[in-house]
Amino acid sequence: MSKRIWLIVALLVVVALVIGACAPAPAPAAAKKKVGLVTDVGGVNDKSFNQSAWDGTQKAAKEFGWDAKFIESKQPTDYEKNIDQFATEKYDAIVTVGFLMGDATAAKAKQYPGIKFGIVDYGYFPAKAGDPDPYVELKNVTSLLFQEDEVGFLAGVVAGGLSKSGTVCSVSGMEIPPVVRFVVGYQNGAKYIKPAVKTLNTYIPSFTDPAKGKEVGQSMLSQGCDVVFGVGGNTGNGGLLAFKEKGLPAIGVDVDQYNTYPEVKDALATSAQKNVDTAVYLFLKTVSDGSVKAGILTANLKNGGIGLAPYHDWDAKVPADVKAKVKEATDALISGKLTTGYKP
Amino acid sequence: MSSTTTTPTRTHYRAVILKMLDALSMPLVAILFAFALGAVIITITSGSLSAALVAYVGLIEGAFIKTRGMSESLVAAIPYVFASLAVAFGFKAGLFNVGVEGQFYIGAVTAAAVGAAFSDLPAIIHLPLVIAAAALGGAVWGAIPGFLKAKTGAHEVINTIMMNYVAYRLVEYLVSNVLRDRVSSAVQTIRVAPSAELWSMASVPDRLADPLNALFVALLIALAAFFFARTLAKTARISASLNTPRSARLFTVGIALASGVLSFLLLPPLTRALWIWTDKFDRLHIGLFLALAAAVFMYWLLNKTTIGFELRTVGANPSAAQYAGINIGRSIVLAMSVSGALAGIAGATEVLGVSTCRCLPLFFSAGYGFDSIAIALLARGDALGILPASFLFGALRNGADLMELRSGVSKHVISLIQALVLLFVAAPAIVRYLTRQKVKPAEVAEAPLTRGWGR
Repeated sequence: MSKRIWLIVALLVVVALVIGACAPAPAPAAAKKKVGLVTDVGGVNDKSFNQSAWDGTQKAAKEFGWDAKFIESKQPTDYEKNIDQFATEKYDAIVTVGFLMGDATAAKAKQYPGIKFGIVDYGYFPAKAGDPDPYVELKNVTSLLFQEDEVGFLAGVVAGGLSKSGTVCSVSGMEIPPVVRFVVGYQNGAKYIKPAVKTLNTYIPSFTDPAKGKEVGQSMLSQGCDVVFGVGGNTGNGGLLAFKEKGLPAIGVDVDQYNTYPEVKDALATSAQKNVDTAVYLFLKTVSDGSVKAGILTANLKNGGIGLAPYHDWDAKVPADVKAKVKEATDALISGKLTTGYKP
Repeated sequence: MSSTTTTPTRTHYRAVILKMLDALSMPLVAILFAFALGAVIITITSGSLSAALVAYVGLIEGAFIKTRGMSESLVAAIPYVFASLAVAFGFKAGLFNVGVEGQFYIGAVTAAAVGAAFSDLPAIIHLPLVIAAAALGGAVWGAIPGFLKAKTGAHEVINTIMMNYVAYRLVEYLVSNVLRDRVSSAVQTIRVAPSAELWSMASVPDRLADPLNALFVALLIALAAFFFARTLAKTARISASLNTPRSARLFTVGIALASGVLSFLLLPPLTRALWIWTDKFDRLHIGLFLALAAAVFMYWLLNKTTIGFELRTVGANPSAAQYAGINIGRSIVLAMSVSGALAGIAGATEVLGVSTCRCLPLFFSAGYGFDSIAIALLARGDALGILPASFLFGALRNGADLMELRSGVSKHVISLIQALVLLFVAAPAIVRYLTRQKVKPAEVAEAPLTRGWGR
């Protein structure tokens, strides 16, 4: 009874083999350089770091005439495999996104010393004082880090300018260096525009606790704060929500949260943005002109790697003199006449 | 040997082979049709036939040929084997365990916890302990819906799905609070002790240099040899020459002892001298052997033991089973526990063998539990059929990346092909129609894999 079925199997196999044999051989290794992006589990359309990194990669590839491809990671155990995929395909540069991929990137960078790696928002630091600098070993890894205190400072200028009560506050995630930089910059920025301003801040040891963030936000409201800066993933988002419900202005973080967190967009005056696309572009530019260095590439106001997001709905509500102050502070920070007051 | 005895054996083997080919023909045709239709869809969406060709060449190269391609396919297949055995085990008892994903998570977190809890145990104790703990965790998670079904009749599909969400959130809580590695900036559990890791293939010679590890492997081999010899002793030709129970026992124990001692003495130097896995970046780990053993174990449990017979009877016809005096409630709880245990081990293999940090990170979104339902269906719930079916899905999952890189065809096409394979397997009538195969009336009324609402 199964003769006919086997005949069909055989036929299909023959067809498959013939097609396989006729298939064009993989394109001969062109002189074109190749850059690959490995996203974390968020995927390339996450409206956040991954997407922004892909934008930067594409921009650089277009400008320098490279080939650009991305691989989305389905799960954390895929990171190494996906980096390996680009490496075995002889890619020249590989960009990885986010601190979740720190271990995988380091392991693969050691395995493939000839490939340039850039990792977004993750720095390799000595585990304890006295340990050697990890970049001595990771000769081909560039960490794309952001100078959060500068953009935090500008957010503080906006917050101080908008505050009527004279108290501004921040709902923060874990007390780790990037968060602290945001907060210190923010507080000093507020004082820059309004020297008598009172600042409140609470660090919540989590990035994924919007309920706690909202609770802290409400307690800050009761202490007279009328502008909030949410610095800490979902925890910070809880703080934004608390202020949105009272119709008070809020400032987002990392990306333009007007797009990524539309529930609070009415309240969002601006966001303290890390321009991942610019940082990736800057990294790939150094790869292109051969000036690439292992270690840290800092994205700051000067090179456009950070900046305030557009005011969107608040464009008319932010007074012109506040905007002028933001401009003034930006110029002063870039020229070095002004410092954010953050000391590591 | 006289010709009178060989002739029946030969026809017997021929019959067996023909039967196997017959059983294989339907899935193979389904796979080929799925790929053919997939090619048509790629051609339509991308506008050129060559895109489909480049895509499939990339898929095959990525899955089998490129550096570490084959290994990565196997790495992906290992959790698939355990997870789909879990689903298939449920099928056999008439239960549809949709909670494999949740049990997978519970197994993963249990393995991460127990693996990190002890730092100075030898692998010979630690590794079995971790695997057993993961199995227990998964078993408990599976037993709860089983118990609810046995006691209250609550349908297991609903309850296992709900248990999935409880598992996700529970694991999220445990990873980000109780078990969290406070040193790392990423949210993940503490790295498991080296003694709890599933050895990577490349590290096997080094691991065997430790006599305790060599003893561990020798014991396992002796155990396997014991069961093999016991089966062998029952075959006609050999049992004829072993005429007393005592000699049969001697034969079995002798073979087990001999292979144990031999492997203890010979394996360390042999693996040192000739070991094909020398690429230390190869991620293939010894979970592969564990997966093979699990499939054989399940085949044995279902087909050669009283428990297996009872479970299959409950699955085929609960009323008849009850009439025959089988405790249905007990069978349901047991089936769900074993199913959950297998799923739990799947989670453990990922944490102990694959995860870069040998720990459980947050957002450990795997999807293995759901794919495994498809694999179990493709293999028609057959324990040994699950091995090739899992390998196919592992290869597709792995090859998809290179396919996308080379051709620009989205790797989601792979999900499409998997769905088409399933469609053709689940609806044999389509394949029969396409191949103009005559339908025997008896085959139309095939027994359903699971039972619907009620008993």
